[in-house]
Amino acid sequence: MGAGARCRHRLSPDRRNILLVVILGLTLGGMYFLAIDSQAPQFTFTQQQNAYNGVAGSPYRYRVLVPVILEGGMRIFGFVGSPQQAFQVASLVCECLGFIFQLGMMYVFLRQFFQPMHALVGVTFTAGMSVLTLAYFTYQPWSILEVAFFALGFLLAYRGKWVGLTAVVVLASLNRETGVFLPLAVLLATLNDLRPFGLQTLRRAAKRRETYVAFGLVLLSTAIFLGLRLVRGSAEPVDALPDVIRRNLERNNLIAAAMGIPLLLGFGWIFALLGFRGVCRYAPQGTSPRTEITQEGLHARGTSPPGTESTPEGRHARGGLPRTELSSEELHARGTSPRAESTPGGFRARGTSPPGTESTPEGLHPSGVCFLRRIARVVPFYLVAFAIWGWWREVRILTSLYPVLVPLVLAYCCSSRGTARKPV
Amino acid sequence: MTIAPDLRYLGLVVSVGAAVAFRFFSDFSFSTIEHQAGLASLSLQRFTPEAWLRLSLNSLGYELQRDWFNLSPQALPEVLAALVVVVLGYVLVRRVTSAEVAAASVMFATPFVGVGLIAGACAWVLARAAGTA
Repeated sequence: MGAGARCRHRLSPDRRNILLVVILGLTLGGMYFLAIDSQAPQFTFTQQQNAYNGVAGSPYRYRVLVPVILEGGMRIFGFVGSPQQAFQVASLVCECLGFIFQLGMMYVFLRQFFQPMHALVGVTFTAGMSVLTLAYFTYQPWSILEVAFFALGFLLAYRGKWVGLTAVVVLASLNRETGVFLPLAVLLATLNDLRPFGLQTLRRAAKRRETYVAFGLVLLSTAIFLGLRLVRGSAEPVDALPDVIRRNLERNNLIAAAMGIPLLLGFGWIFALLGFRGVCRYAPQGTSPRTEITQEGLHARGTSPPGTESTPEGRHARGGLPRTELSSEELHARGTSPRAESTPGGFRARGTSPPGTESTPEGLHPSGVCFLRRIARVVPFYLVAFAIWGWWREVRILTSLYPVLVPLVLAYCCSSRGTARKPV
Repeated sequence: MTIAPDLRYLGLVVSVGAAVAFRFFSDFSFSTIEHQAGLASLSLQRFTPEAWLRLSLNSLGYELQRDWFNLSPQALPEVLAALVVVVLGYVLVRRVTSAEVAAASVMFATPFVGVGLIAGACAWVLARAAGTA
C-alpha cells in the first residue's frame, strides 16, 4: 500500500471523472485532426486565412471567433516552421482543448442534475456518438465550441448567472450564427405554461425579469449577427439555398442522412423523448414509494408498496421523501410556490440544497426537470433551421443539441428503481 | 413504456457501439489497409515503430473520413460483430459492478477499442509484408 493507493483513495468521483473526460477529449481531438485537418491541409489553411482576413464566403466570413483563436495559436507555435505547419499544430491543440472544454462543460452541466457516475455515462455517451460525426465536412471547428458554449450557457442560466450568460451568448454569436439558439432556448425556458395561449398569457410572461433579460440576449445575438455582416461586408454564400435543397434530395445524400441522423443518438432519440415526457420514476429501491414527475409535477402514484400509501394531500405516510420536502417539491413543480418559478436567482430551486448537490439518490430535482424540459422547447426550432439550411447528412450540425438531449436521455435512463447506487 | 434499467443502459451502449463501428469499419480489411498504404506511398518493407505508426494513422484517417453509407461487403458482419463485442463487454462488466458503471466503462472504452483494432490490423499487415519481403 504505497502512495499510489493513498492517491486513489483521495481522488473524488468528480476529479476522477474529469480525468476521464480529459482523456476522451484528447482522443476525440486527435481523431478530429486526423479525419478533417490532415485530409486537406492546404484547403484548411486557405480557409482559415480567408476567414481571418474577411474574404471567405458566407457564412464563414462571419464566424470570427475560431479564426482569431487559431491566428493566436499560429503565432504561439510559429517556432515549429512555416505558417502552415504552425497552423497545423495550433489546430491540433485547439481541437484537443476544444473537445476537453466541450466534454468538460457537458459533465459540469450534467452534474447539476445527476450523480457523478450518471454524468459520466452522459459524457461517455456523447463522446462515443461524436465519433460518428467525424466525416462529410472540412474545417468546421466552430461546431466543437458551440456544444461547449451551449452547455456552459445553460449551466449559467440554471444558476442565474446572467452576466456570465451574456458573455457566453456574445462568444457563441461570434462563433457561429446558430449561437442565437442559446438565448432562444433560455428565453423559451423562462416561459412557464403558455396555455391558454393568448395576449394575456404573453403579457404575464413578459412581466418576469428573466424573460425580458433572455429576450434581450436574443436581441443581442441578433445584433451581433447583423453587426458582423455590416462590419465585414456582404459575401456571396458558399452554398446557395436552392443548391442545398437540391443536394439534400439527391439519392446518396438521402441514404446517408437516413442512416446518420438515427445513428447520431441511436436509442437516445427514443430515451430523450421518453425523458421529456417525464416517464421517470425517482426512488431508491425499497425505500420509497414510486414517485413520478409528470407534466403536473412530482406526485405520488397509486402503485406504492404497502405502508407507503399517499395521503389525500399527496404526501407519503412513511418511507418516502420527508413530508415537508415533498410538499415543497409538489408546490415547486406545480408552479404555486415562489421557488417554482425561474427566479432572478436562476432556474435552480433556491434554498433547497447547496450548489452541486441537487442530484439526490432519488434522482432529479424538480427544478432541474422543469429546466431540462423547458430548454428542450428549442429543439423544433433548431431542427427546422437544420432542415432548411443544413446539409442533412452532415450530422455534425446536430451535435449542438447534445446539451439539450443528453440530459433527457439520462433523465430517462437513471430514473428507475435500483439504479441509484452509491457513487464509486 | 417501462424498460428495465439494464436494457436502458444497454441501449446506450449499443448506440455508441453502432456509431463507432459504422465510423471505423465501413471498409475495414487487410487488403484495404494495404491499398491505402499504396495510395499514400507508404513502405511496408520493414516493421519499424515509425512505419507502424504511419500506417495506423493513414488507415485511421481513411476510415474516419470515408463515405460510410456506401458499405463494403464485409462491413455489416464487422459492425454486427462489434455490437456483439460491446454487448458482451457490458454483460461481463455488469456481473461485477452496477449498471451505470458498466455502461460508462464500456462506452468509454469503445472508441479506444476501435483505434486499437485498426492499429492491431496494421501491425499484422506490416508484419506479414515484412516477413515476405
